[in-house]
Amino acid sequence: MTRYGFAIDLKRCYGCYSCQTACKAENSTPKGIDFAVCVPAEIGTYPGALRQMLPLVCMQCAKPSCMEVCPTGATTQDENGIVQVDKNLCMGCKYCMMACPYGARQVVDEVETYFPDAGTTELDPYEKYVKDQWNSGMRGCGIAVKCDYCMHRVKEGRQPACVACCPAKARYFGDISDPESEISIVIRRERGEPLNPEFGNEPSCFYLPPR
Amino acid sequence: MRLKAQTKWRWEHAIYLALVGIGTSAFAIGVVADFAGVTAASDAWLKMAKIGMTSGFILVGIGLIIVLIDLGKPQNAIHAWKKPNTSWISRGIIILTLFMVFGAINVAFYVWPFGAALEGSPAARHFLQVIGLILSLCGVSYAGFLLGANRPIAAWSTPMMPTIFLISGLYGGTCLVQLLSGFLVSDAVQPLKYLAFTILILGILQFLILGFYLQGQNRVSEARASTMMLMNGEQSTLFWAGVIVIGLLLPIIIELFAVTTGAGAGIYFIAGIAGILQPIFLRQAILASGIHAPLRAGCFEYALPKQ
Repeated sequence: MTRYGFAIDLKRCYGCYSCQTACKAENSTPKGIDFAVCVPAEIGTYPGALRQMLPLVCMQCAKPSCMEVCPTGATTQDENGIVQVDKNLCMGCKYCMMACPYGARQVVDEVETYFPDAGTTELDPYEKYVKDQWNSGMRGCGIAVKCDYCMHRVKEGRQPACVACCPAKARYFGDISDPESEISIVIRRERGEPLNPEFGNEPSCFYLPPR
Repeated sequence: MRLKAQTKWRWEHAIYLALVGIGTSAFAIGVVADFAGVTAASDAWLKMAKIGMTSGFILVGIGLIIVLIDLGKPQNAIHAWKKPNTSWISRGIIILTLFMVFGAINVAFYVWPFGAALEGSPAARHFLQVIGLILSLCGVSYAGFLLGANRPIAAWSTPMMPTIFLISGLYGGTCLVQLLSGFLVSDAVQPLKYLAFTILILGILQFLILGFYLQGQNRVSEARASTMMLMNGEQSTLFWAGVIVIGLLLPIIIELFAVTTGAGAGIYFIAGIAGILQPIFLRQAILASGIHAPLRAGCFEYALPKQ
């Protein structure tokens, strides 16, 4: 049984936000929705201050809290471990957003323009295209949406958009249930750890320590 | 690193949770009043019972309409009962739906419009009312379990949350019944005095429970941040002015004065209004101070990007 996962090398990530931009372009996410984000953190003070970026995706947990708390059964997990939301069942209660420890679930009420200062709330042609793309398929406004590891690309034998575009080659994607896969080897060799394991979700995304 | 509170559940959710808590509690008070009225053969208690059950039923209905309007896709709410084995929202929908059914039967056949079908048979209506009472107590505390099941938000994920919601809901429901009975029931001095004692006890209990709750929120950084937000941060005005002073201190002082001096029903008006607002303010304060745990990777902590 395949279980797709990520390994993100924090030594290599330098916070260029290519992953965030590529994800937005690939998935036509509207303003306010970012499936792949980079979050900065700083510790210490000069001259010993350190800054580290943390790229985030959906953790596609083995025991997803979002699936547990979903009242309508809209959130399900397929045979590859990908957690998905059925837009025909989701009622937009946002309980999954509270339950997810990683902030992977998002909701947008309507597609807004990126340029409100232009004196109009009308969408320009590109934004209208994004709106059409967003509302077709299994996503839309008013319901919970999340990263699905670009399954539409993976089924064609390609890497997720954020993995393909990373200039630092900081992201690995593959089958973490296969001990001989590249990602499994990297996780073992570099001692990758998931975020906040104390919540018991068993995330599929591992982080290789920065130093 | 600046931890931020969640922003998705807002005033609409606080009002819905409060109306459900106040409404189910008012119904419960109504049931108790009905038992007292039959036992004491007192018209005042029986009228208070009808007021409690009717107002409770209406408030829960309004709360459910508010939350339905707030949903992103209300038409899919019809599926919300499907996962009671894991989801507290499903359990709550089932409990509140059953409550509305029993509430409707009580109101229709005991209060209005189908008249006195249950008026002359206390045994039958008490049987229905006990079921309604159990459902209403489940309904008032379910919201506490709903928030308590959120492990990433330490300020909510505490066994005290259902207790806070239960006592606060009972407090608000009792204030509501007292407020309405003061106007609508003549010669209700004795029942109103009993309600005043109840409000005093529930108010003092709330002080203790909130004190224990806030004192216990020191295990992790996000819980401490939530407590600081309530005590002297962004929600401090709402907490101190709304929850403590207006919601608890003012009604307690008025009720104490009324009980010790035997004042008339009009004095309960301000206490009643303030007591009804307290559950709304408390729930909004708790929702608005809910901070997700930061993401921890090695020695770094990262605040969640946006919630």
